[in-house]
Amino acid sequence: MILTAPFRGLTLILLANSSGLARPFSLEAGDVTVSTVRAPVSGNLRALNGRWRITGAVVLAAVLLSAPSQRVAGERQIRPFVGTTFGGMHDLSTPRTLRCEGSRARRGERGVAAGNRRRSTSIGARDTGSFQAGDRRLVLDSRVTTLMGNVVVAAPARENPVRVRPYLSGGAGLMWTHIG
Amino acid sequence: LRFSYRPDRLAPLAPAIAACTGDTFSGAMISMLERFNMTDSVPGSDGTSWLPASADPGGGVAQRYSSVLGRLATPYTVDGKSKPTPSRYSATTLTPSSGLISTVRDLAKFDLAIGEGVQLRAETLALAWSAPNGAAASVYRMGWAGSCRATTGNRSSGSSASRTTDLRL
Repeated sequence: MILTAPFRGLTLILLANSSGLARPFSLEAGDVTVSTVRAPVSGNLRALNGRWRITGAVVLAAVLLSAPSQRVAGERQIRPFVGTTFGGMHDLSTPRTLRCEGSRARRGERGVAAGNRRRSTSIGARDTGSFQAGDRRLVLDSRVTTLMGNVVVAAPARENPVRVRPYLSGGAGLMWTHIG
Repeated sequence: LRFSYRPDRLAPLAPAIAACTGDTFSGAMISMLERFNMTDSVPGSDGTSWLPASADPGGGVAQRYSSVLGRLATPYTVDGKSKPTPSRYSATTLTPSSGLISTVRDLAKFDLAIGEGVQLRAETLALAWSAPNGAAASVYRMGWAGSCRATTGNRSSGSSASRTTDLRL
């Protein structure tokens, strides 16, 4: 399905490998606004040009297609990630307060298991060199390993015609620190 | 005037394109894919079988088609109970209404070429976006379904029209 706003220079391209993209919405009747795929892009959109236009279309398509589906039976994912901490302050049970200087790259794995009603997420990260002590070099070696997880229990989507899904979320985390 | 999605009505485009280009419909489509650098597109899943040797002297195009077909997504059908079942693509041969195997990025290249007037003249595009005769107040365009609704704009007039047109492949 291709949606284009020619006077805005904007085009949305959606490809799918099943009939679920279009068949439930009777698009052959000529009214694409009945599609739940079209609905999220009904806002005030800005036109992009050239390379950014292509990138924008691809990103928007990816965002829309990655949105939770009412039809999904279940999925499991492992998503590697890289993050950054800017000037965080740590006050652990150490003889002195140590500041995390500058930005530190973080990396790890995020696991997601999602079903129609339950979704759980676990995050594991390992961060080396988190704690430094400025020019005094009091800390020669440090690392932090974290493991977090949560569970989200949501009301079934198909039984909720107003598209509002109440949910409960809870989780816990563990952190291991090493300062040498 | 009522919109009706009739892909079979596109069939006369094949001889028209052949007459305009002096090539076969399939040959013209191959030339267009190459011209727009749509390197992840294949003119039908059987495209490698009839690709003329004159159009692919080094065999690179056929090899690329085979590579794309090897990465083709498995199709699924979804039944009334929302259960997906692997199926097969019904269209294997390129026609004016179906059969093209492509990617989002390649289709974006095609869209850019259309918008920049590479493939169509500006007046042709303007005609495509306009309503057919006798349907000035309709939301339908020439072969396209569109919608038009008033939105608040930032033009000097204080309002502008927002048009959205969709094409289904």
